Amino acid sequence: MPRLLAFLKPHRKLVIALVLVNFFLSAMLIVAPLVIKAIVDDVIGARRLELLLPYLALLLLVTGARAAATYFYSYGQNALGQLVMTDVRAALYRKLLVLPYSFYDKEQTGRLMSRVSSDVESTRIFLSQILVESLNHATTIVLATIALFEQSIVLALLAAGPMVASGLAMYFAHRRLSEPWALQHQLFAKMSATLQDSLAGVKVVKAFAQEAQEERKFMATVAEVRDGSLRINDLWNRRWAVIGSIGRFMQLLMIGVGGYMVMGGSLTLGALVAAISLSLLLLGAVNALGTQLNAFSQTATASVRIFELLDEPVTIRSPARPQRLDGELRGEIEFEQVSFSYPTSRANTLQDINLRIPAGSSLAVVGATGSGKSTLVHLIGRFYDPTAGRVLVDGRDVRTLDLAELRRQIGMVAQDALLFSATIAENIAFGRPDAPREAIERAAKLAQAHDFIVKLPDGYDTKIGERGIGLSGGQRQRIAIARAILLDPRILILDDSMSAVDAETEKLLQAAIRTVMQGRTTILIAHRLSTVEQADHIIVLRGGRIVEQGTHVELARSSGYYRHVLEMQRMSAAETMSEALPITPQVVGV
Amino acid sequence: MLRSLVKPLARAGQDEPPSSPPRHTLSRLFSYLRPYRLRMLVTLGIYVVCVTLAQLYPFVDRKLIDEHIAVGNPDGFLPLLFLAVVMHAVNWGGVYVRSHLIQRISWDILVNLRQQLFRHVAGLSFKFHENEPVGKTMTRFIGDASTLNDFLTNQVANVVNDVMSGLIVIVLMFAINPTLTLIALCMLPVLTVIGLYMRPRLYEGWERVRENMTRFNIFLAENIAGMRVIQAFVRENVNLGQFQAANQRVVTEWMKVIGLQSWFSPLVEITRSTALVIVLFIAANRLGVGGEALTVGTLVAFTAYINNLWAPISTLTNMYVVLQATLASADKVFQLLDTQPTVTDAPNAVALPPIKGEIVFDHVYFGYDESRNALEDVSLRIEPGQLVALVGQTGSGKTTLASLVCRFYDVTGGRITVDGYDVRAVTQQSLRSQIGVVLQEPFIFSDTIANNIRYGRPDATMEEVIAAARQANCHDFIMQLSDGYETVAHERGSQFSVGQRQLLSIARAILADPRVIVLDEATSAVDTETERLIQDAFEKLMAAEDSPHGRRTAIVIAHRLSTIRKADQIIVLKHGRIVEVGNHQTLVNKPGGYYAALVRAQATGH
Repeated sequence: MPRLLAFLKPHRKLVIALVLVNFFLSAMLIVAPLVIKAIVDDVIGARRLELLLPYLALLLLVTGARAAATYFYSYGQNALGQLVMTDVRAALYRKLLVLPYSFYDKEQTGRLMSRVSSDVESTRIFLSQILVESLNHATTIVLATIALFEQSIVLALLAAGPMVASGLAMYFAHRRLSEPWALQHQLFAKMSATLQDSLAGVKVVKAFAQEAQEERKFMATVAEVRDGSLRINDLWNRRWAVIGSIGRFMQLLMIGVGGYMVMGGSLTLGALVAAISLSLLLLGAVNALGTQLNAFSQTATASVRIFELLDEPVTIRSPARPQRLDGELRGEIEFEQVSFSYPTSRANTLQDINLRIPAGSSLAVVGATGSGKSTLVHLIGRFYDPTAGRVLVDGRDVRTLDLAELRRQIGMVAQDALLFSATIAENIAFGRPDAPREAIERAAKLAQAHDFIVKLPDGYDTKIGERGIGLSGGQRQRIAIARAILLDPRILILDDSMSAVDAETEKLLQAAIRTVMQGRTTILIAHRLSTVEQADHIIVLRGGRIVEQGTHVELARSSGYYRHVLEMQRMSAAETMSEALPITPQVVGV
Repeated sequence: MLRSLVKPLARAGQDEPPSSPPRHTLSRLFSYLRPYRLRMLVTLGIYVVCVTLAQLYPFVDRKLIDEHIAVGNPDGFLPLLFLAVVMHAVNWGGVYVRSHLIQRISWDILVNLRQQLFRHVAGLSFKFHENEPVGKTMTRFIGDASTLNDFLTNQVANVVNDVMSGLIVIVLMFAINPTLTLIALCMLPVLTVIGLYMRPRLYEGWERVRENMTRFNIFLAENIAGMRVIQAFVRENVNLGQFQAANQRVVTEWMKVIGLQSWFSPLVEITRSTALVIVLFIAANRLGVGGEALTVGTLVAFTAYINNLWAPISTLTNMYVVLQATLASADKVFQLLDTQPTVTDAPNAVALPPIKGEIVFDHVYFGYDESRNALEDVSLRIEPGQLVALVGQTGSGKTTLASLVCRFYDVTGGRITVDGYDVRAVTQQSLRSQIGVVLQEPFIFSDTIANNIRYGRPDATMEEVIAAARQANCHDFIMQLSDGYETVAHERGSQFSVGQRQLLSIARAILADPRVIVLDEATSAVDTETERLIQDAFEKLMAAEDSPHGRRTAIVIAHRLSTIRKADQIIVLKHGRIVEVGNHQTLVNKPGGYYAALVRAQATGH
């Protein structure tokens, strides 16, 4: 809780102003019944008409003051909420920017999104509404109680019973319902997911003529949501019948007892009218407080999740005093006794890797799925730190270098060719947002992407992704390659990045990449041996170890895994024969 | 004046296509209430009873005060008080019953509407599903359907409640004092103008906030999903700037609406208090204090009635906004319901009897739109048990040709027959249940592995499922999963590799045991070992060893030379026409042939 309140600290002046305005609003709320009382007793009862105008003027003044204060409160409270939310969101986003790959390996986008959107929203509501308003209701309760006792102790005590009962009923009703409400959210999510599944898979549904089965599945989830909702409604209706009706019963009780008191002369009529108004005000405040006490615990859990994320350790960061790279890297890479294991698995993904890649040379990495190829190349840009051994670039341990400086020298093309919802030009210029159009086009030409880009409706300014056009897997991969080429990196890493490119384009692309490779250290991961053949050096990984290495000619002559794969590929000619079909655009955020 | 007051909303609906007149949409909407009209009438009746009782409270209170308390007359005080208690008890009994009733009607309508939508959408043809994003269709089911349902039940009930409440209040106020009533009503137009001016603007403002919020969330989701790329390209600072700009846009829009909204309740409050003050002042001055006109009871009753009049009218000014939003949703829902499936069963369609698997294309023409043909004059004959490979570049018509066999689209010219039956003369269900389809991007449902495999035959036993999985070479990896066949697949089977998903979809086709299979070979490279497993599974699927009818007819959109070599017929397509037909041997030696050129290009790749 103190940590949560710390978010309010930078805005403490606004918070204090809001609290004061709130206090004023509560006070004004109490004044109106008292003015009415004066009108009843002094003007109507004592027949002093000359007092009416001042009292009415006071009533209007109170209303005007209240209106102005309400406006200020509403505006200020929203401003506070937005300010706090901006701070919390920015803190979370900054954190997300520095969290390492290992964090993103274990977290799903959807879960993180709900941290940054719904949990932040709960925190905003808590800090800017619930906290201040609870204070407001508490103030109203205190002031109204005092004013009520002023009118009549008997009536005040009479109202106390129903009041406490109502507040408690409200509190327990919300508590009783919080679990069914949470369950209802899940049921609703399940219904949406089922519908989404049926619609997204509609081709399979129709191909197998299973429309009726899908309808049954969907309607079952709809029925679940309906039953859950009706159950909640029934629970609430029963409680609301008590909470909602209690006010009028209380009012009638006060009219009855208070009526006899007025008739007996022990109470003025004005005091009775004021006491009833005050007790209704009080009841409203008590019920609201009962509701908000529940919200307290719910927002508490939401903010705990936010702090969990903010406290997530940043395992990879630049050293306090990094070694400076003098100008450009040469690009020599060395692995010294490197072992690596992911926190989730017990087995080592990489084991005792010793490898030297001379500056400007090319290395191909071959091996089955899960043999550690991707992991190996991710250690160079320090996206993970090895569990043992060292990775050196230009003879310096990467852990001693400035992260940004190191990564800027590495052009990385990952397996999934993830693009952003932006124009094609912006995507290619991702790592160099200020790159001139000529440079972007040059990179696209090298990546064999220029020809298809200029055929798109808006050429380089075509939007892709959300509300934009979809690209085929091969096209996306070529843009990802252009993105890396534009960086003009000293080290170029292609992680299985031509898998969806058709055979003909691949040949052109290979030729282009040979040009790009000139003078750079290049690492290629590929399944197709035609891509691998051209590397200066080839290593074969198996179970995280280097089991074979040499040139293509050497390895083809040996009798190991490489030779085996080579023969299988020749036999089955597992090459694509035509351009890859456009597949569902996998630009994120869609 | 009304037009200028409510102007902003007209802009909100601008980008929607012109739709049917609102009155028509509305009457169609109300037709959904028809099956429940009796229950709805009873419910609305209870609303009227309750609202009448509730509005009598101040009237009774006035009597209690003026005729008993103020004048010190205890006779009849208790019975009247008792009556007030009974009225309140009856009212709340009614409130309880009516909530119960309206919630049930509401759910009945919603469930029916969702079922109607699902049935309709599931019946729509491929053409629809290829063009409409899933998210958009889902909005019709979830958001729009609830909006309609809420309008038909809660909003209708609220209007009845508010209108009745307003009328009864005015009648009772007149009964107390007509002059004061007329004075009090003077402020009502002011309130109405405030409501009509502000509500649409607030609605529009919040819509803008929502849009910016959605855009912000998309930005954020994309950044989280793409964080690896952001870090790899050292883009942290640029993206932080974008983040702050997007966030600032949300905040700016939010505060703009709040700037307006914060005026709303103070203004309403001021009109209410002003009305009360004017009434009291005039009553006291013109009619004398303490007499007929301004008694304590009247003061109390008028205070309550002005309150009770302000609330419903303030709500009613919102009706225009609600109506606009409802009509917008209704238009979208009805548009979806009015979309006709392009492929339908003929009225006299017969069930296709078990087939042998002979497929004939007879001068088939087809175009996705009128301007361009995707297939032109395609004629071919596939004998039962043949393997046919479709070859050609993207856009040559391979996928289209394969889709026509399943009648996912209807031909625009010529005809397609299966075992001599025109595919348009048989029911879609009986046709498709005899054709197995394996897509290039296999779709895995978020269900157990077993249910995914038995998708085409939901009654298959576990033994049959396992047998199919073994044939499709996926038994081994399934058994390594934590719950084996009962493991639930994540959304779209994301925990499986592309290769594994392909194996699962082959198992699914094997278990469905169709006579004809349509297969789209994957283009993406998988590792060599998985590739071998997939090829082997394909073989078994086509061979159909367990089936008494022998080899299945297979139409393969082929990307692998090894598959094409084995084909009985190779169909080479170019721009929607068949340019060459034959087997590998004949085609590869054909001088100047397109296929021969393709194979040569392929060979030099090594």
